[in-house]
Amino acid sequence: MARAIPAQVVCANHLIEGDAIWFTGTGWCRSITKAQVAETPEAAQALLALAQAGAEDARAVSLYLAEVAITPAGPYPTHFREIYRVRGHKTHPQLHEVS
Amino acid sequence: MYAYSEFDRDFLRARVAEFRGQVARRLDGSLSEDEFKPLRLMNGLYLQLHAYMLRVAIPYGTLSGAQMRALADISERWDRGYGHFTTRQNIQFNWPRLSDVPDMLEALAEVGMHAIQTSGNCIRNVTADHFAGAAAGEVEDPRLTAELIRQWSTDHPEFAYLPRKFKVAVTASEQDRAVIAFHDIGLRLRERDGEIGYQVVIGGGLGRTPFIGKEVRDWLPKRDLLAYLEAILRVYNLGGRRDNKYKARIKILVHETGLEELRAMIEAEFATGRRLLGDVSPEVIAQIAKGFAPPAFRDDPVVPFSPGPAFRSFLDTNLHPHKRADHVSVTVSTKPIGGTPGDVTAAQMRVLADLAKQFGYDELRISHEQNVILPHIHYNDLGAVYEALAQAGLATANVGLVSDIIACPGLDYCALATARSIPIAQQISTLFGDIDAQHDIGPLKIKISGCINACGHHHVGHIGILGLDRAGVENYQLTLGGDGTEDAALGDRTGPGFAYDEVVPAVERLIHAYLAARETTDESFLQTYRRVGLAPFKAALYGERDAAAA
Ligand code: HEM
Ligand code: SF4
Repeated sequence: MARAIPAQVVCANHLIEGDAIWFTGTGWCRSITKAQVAETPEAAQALLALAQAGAEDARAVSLYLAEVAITPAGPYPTHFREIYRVRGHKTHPQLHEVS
Repeated sequence: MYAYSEFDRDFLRARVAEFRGQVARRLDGSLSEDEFKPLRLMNGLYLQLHAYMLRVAIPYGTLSGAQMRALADISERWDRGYGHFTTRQNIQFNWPRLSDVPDMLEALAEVGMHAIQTSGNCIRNVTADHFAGAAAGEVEDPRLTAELIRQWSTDHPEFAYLPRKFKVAVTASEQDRAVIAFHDIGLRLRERDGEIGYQVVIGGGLGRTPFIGKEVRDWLPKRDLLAYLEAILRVYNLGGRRDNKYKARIKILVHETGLEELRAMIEAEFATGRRLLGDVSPEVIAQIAKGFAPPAFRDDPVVPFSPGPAFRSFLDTNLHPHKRADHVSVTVSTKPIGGTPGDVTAAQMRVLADLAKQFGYDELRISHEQNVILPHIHYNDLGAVYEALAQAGLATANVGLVSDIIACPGLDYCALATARSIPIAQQISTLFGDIDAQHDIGPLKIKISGCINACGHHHVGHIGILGLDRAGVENYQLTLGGDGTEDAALGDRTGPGFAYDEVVPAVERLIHAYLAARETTDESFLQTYRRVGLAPFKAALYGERDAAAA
């Protein structure tokens, strides 16, 4: 499923919530599956620049590129760090409901 | 404990108001992220993998019941109902929203707490022996010194932009429970000819390049403390490297300059500085001392009792001798079997606050081992304290044992992490869950860091575990024989690292190798390691043949 050239997406944190968000090409979303994929290094730089240009207005901070594989459900990270980010916090399910 | 003056309260209120303004300007767009980031860091606010994190200082690890209760309220109102106690006597809230942080800081200020200097290249929260003021064998309460340093270092304009962060720890006994040998400056109060002064150790540190601190003064008269600290910091401020952040800590300056030369520079600076900076005013000292006056200890005669088996094992591991024979310090483990080291829920915080109030002269401590301490408990109250702790899930009888693990947040929270550390701690704890078996294994300190920064103190674990990213896969390096006490030692690398699924079985093999090698049941893991060396442990880890090759 993974392509020869690692595809990339732009991820960030939301300014107020602090949680992980991904760039869709026009805005930001909380699911990586809707992220815009760049398939060449040049496209990735262009995508990052585009995301950065609108980051202030969109309240996106701490932007960077992350490698993904293309799956039937959409892009999914290849590196474990990004996989954990996508999966969300796991070690404390019992404490996780906001009371 | 130290009581805030009107000056302190005004200062905190002003800081909160200032940060509130900064957040508002960030939210309305008048501050950019690049402008705002250093401002939030100065107020202890980090951005992690899944959320912000607010790091709050617990100076020298001391908390009152009211402060603990405030932490509980804050965690429920603005976070997820729990807090995380760290190796630097801080508490971290892992889920705040940016817009709520000014309110959190205001609630903290109400009880004299803050997040100032918990981040950035400044003098950080000063830590101390967690049994300070309670332990037998102290020459003086080390918190008097820690508080003096706190007052001097807070907002000290000359040292706000050091080459790198700067950490100071203080102890006042021969046993080092404050890890002073691994701080930028470690201070030990000692007595000589009826006078109290300091041993001063500099250049210790963990992280990428660990060093054991070196003694720069075996004796410093008490009155010279601040002038001497200024001399060290001034020499470091000018000489510390700013070209490479990995070489910017004072440990590198000590290493590259050499202790003798650096000592001469410090002494020269001290000779001048001491003339300019007068002695600390006796009123300030007296004011501080008033804040740490011992409580009015109860004098009731101790009534003997006969504990049941579970209470018995709690008494075996969770007590520490008190300077008074009728009292004892109780360590409350934040490491339930399979739990996250250092995490305490709001409900548990309230139980601890209540116990402190009812039985503990309203005093609590946080240890660098991420546990909570009730420093002064009368023997007659132990049963009631134990019962209440047990009901709150806080009576795990594992202090100093295999499941009393230090673990940094790792990749479950931290943006710098290269691997997970909490799940490793949880699995080891679960594997050795049986308390009797743990008591049989005896004293054993396992310390886990999720990256080379070593926030989990892995270099000084009897078994140290360092999580790394090896070609896109989590990989764990093991070290053996580290020691953060007065017998300071850095752990020895065992050899190639282990994958995520292999590391817990590897730790299990190490422990079995120890059980096979120990001469008596009284010989601890560390003692056995020091006697037999790395070879049998390597054999257990890698097999006989690989061990010879490794
Ligand atoms: C956002 C989370 C954290 C970040 C960004 C962070 C960052 C760092 C960095 C960069 C270092 C290495 C500094 C150097 O050697 O120059 C370090 C060291 C250290 N940190 Fe953390 N850390 C975090 C969480 C923690 C936690 C949760 C603890 C306590 C459990 C902790 C305690 C320490 C200690 C004890 C050291 C090593 C001692 C030293 O050499 O200073 N940190 N940290
Ligand atoms: S050791 Fe690394 S992973 Fe762990 S808290 Fe420190 S910076 Fe984060």
